Amino acid sequence: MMKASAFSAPQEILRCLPEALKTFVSERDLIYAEELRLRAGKRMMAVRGGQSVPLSETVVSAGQIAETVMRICNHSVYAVTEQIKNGFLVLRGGVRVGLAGCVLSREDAVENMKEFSGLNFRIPREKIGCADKLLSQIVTGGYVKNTLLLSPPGCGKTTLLRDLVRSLSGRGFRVCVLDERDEICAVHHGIAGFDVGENTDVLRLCPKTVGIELAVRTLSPQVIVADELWGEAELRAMRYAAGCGCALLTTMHGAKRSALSEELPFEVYVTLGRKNGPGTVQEVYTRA
Amino acid sequence: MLKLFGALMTFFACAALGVWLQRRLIKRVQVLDSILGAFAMLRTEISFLQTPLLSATEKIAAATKDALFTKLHMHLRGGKLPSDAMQGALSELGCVLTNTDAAVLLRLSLQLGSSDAESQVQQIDAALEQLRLQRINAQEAANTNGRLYLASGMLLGVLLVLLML
Repeated sequence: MMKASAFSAPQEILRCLPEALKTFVSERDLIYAEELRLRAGKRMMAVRGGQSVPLSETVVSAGQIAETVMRICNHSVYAVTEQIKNGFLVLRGGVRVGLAGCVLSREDAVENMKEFSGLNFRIPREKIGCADKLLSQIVTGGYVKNTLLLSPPGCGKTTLLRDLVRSLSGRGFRVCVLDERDEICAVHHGIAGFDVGENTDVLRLCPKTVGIELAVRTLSPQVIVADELWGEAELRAMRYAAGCGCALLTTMHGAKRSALSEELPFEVYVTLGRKNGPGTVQEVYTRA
Repeated sequence: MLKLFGALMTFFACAALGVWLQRRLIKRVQVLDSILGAFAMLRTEISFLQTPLLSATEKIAAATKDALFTKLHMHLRGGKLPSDAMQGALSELGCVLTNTDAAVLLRLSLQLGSSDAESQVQQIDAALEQLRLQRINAQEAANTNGRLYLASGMLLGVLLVLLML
């Protein structure tokens, strides 16, 4: 069963588009799209089944992109400065908007972004039951194995992760989700927009390095869930959580398990692809 | 008898005109005081809590009952840009504020929400400084011109009564 979050992602996206662009895109166009792309000086594109499909012959102007950004942040740039520094904005309904533009950095740290030239609206999906087959390989004897979902972007890692959270929570495990970009749970006014189960706590917009320690010390989770593991600092935080007796469930960008270090703290590696559509499980490897 | 009634009516009408003009000057001071308080709260909401503009104006309107912020919030909720919302709020507020007061608020509204918190605070501080000067001018006008309007209204009334009698 596939369904949208409490806030319809297509409606949220349409709310943010300037009137001139809204005429070229309908809610129907977005329902089965994976992404909507706006690039200054180029045509507006929807990505469906991995293919880019132009929605109009008219090109998007830089001014329209700037207006869209202002609408996304509800004319309150100051409220989303940290998100902009990380290169994305978040809409209700779990939509993540990736930003392209001029990056202002100092000493390898992003200070701000300006002159936005491109936006990538990623439309989330909720596929109830898509993780059912995988669950038996992750949970054995009341114990959740440290699991890493691995795939290139757009292969359904987050959708699978979301359903694993729902299933584990449904089985009574205390799950804590570090939802850095509001994509996994799509919380709005404290209520999760997606079904993530009754035993799930969510730390929103919280960096993993901070959130893991916070979760371990205050929420006593049995499973810690995070999306898109990146860099040594986050890995160190994950090892800390594993050392504290929490099971880890996370995703990472990558095409092959063999390219990963042997020292990662995971017992199960699930590689995803797009062979039969997003979310196709290519390999499940359990480390002895 | 009718002449006396007419004379009294004329006197009270002229005196009322003087009182109305004086009240307008006092009202401008009160409105500017209220706006200054509301913008000081907005400064806090932006700098410490990073509350989005729509929620911030709602909170401030509820807390201060400031007429400008109440109308500003209503326009923002309707999906208007901050500058359009301010324009609408000012035109609905009536003509208590002078053009200079309105210009300060409109200038600020053009920048409202369009930059990071640090820059927003700088812009609000600059606008608050200008509004404080406007408030001082308004108070002086209320003290001097207010009494003048009141006295002039009454004198005009007396003069007209004398002419009528």
